[in-house]
Amino acid sequence: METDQKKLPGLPLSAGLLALVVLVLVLVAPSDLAMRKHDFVRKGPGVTEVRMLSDWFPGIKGGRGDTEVYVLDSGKPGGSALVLGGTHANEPAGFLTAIVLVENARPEAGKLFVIPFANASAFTHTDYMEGEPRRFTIEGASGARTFRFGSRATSPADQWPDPDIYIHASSGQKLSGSETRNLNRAYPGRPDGTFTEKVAFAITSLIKAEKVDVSVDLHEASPEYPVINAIVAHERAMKVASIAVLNLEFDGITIGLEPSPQKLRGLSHRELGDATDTFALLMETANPSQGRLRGVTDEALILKGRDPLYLKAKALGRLFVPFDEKGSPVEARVGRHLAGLAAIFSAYTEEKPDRAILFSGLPSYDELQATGLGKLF
Amino acid sequence: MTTQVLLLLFMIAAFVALVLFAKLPVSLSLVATAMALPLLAGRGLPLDQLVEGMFGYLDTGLVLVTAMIFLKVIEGNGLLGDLTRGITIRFGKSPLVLLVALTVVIMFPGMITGSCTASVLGTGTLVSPILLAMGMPLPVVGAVISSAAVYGMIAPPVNIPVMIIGGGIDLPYIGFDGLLALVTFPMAILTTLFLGLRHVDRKALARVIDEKKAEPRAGKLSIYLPLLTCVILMVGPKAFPKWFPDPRLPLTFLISAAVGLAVGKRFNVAKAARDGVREILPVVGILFGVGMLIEMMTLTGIRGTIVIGALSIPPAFMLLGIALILPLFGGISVYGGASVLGVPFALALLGQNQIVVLSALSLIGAMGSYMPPVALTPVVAAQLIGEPKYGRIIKLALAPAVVAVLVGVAMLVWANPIAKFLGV
Repeated sequence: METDQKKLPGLPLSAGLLALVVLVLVLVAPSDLAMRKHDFVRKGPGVTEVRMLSDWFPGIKGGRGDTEVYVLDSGKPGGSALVLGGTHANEPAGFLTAIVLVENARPEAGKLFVIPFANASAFTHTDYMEGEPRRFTIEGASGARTFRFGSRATSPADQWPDPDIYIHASSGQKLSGSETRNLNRAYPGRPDGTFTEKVAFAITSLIKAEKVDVSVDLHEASPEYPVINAIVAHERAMKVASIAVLNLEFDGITIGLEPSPQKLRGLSHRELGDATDTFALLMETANPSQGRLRGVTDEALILKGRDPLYLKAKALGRLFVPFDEKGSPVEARVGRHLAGLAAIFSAYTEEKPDRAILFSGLPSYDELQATGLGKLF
Repeated sequence: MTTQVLLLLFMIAAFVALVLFAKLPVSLSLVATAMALPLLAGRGLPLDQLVEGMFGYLDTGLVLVTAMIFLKVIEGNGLLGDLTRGITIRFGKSPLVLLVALTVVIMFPGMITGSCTASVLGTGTLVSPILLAMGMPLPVVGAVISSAAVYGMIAPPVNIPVMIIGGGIDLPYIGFDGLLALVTFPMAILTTLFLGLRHVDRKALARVIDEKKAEPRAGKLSIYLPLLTCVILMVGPKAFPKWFPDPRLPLTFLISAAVGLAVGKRFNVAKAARDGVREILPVVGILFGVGMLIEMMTLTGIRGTIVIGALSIPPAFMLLGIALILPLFGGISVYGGASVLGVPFALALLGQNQIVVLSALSLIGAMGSYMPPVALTPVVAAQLIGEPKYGRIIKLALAPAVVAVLVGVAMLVWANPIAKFLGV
């Protein structure tokens, strides 16, 4: 075993290789730059205003952290809610659910703020060495709709390099350095912090300024992750979450309830609950395309969620969710999120009728499984 | 046999054939294998992902290149020689004390950065001339530096594999320092003594001390400014994270190198930088090639097949599987192994004390630093000391590494009693 020291190529070969590298970069650059263009989101019947996140914190204005905030105002008295999709851009059910809300929901009471691409920068790249496709297509009622499949973290083009260890600013908690670009470890954020902390600060500022009653952060997790098909709730939101879980169970949707850990800091359900008056919740569904046990990684895995390796993992008792030949299709994952949101807002409305949050225009879980997701686009 | 298993066999065969028979450099062999995999799997040539894979090791590559420039600068301005002189004279009378001190010195950069490369390139360079002067053969010097660097990587306060696995199971990096110190320091020191003590030639050492005493000092104390700058920039952000900005390792090395140009002897800077980059470039090339290969292994499902294969091991043999597979995967990337295999293994051991389990997994996984094809630590150490065959270093470090894996397995077996005894 020798190192390559003595095998360095001569000048002509080096020049040839360099030219090849330049050619490859020229070929790759257009598709890389195209990732910076936000996916099309249609203004649905309930949308009364489209604002930018920088309206609540000008520190991110014009940058790649700035993102659309869709406001669906019923014009009737009630409470307000915030739905975050795309905190992690490799968890498609999160941002697809947010887009479905924007394009289809009709608010009946109160006001809804929806951010489909919460970490907009994370949509501009995919995670290194994960072999993920950059886009996936859903055949919609109005034609094929293509969406970006991004990364768990802010792009290194916007925040780089990572420190050796990430120290959460307000708690001093230490995590691995790459978590410094994870929006869901950056809350409540800092106005003078990193790119990601500024985005987190903008979201926290929105919640404070708009007196948001309920905030729900939509996520997905790999099927081998223990907290999955679950609602994670801050202690103040626990009663509402419990009622929502019971109602979901009555509707045949099995879902767990997890208290937000006191010691795990920087997450939305912990910090937004602590730093503001909002009821902070987070929802998880099972997404094989982000798992460590997955097989062939392609668009079909993202949409259908079928994977023979996950079937084996289930047989080995390694999964925390049911998993069979049908897989974990995106319709089921978006359906769970939509049903979960409806249950949470309904429970909150029961608890605080003067701060009602109600909306219509969305299919039930069963209806969505029957018609498919494309019908909503 | 599934498609993925066939692809895996093809991948291994193609890589070996390209290196051994086509005599291609390891880096280009990895690139060629990475490009062939998706073609064979019917996925075309996914240029986007191939380029993206390389970026997985961009940061490590930058650290390596800038560290080498820094080392060439402190070699050129006389700092390195002067420091070697000082340490040899001060501790030379007791080889045992000298070896213990040197082990901790080698570990230090790894402890604060979580990178064994930082240790090898940082203090390994300073220490290697002393070890050689003590009478150790080149491969032994390489093995001592490599092993101390590997333990430095997982010693507190920064153990990145634990952080990566912890991130995957929502366990914050709290409460690990004591246990990690208890495991890594004794094992690092014992490994150094096991590898090096018998080679110490006291007479040669005494002669070297006399020679060093006779040598004139390279310069005033100001010659140590680059080293001081480097230590301050490495430690400052960890000690005072709230107000000390973290320049990260590449900038730390470049700033320190710039300081080095202002003090000590004059030398040809351009040549030193060129030499440094030329020496380390093959290692960087291997890393980029590995990034591309992992990306293609994931895309084609080979990575998942390996992980499921590891998890399919019957419970009775699970520990054996961890002991074998985790270090083997470290041959591609220790951090990658922590993420891809460490997290599922940690989940499989959820009933055990997680602090002990994660510490043990990081200890076992770290031994993958010696494994080909990357074998980053011995490769960089070999490059540094001028040992042409890094395989000799691996051979020497293998026995202590096996012991470390056994200690890790014992920690997994008795995780709960250990935790109770230590109060973690």
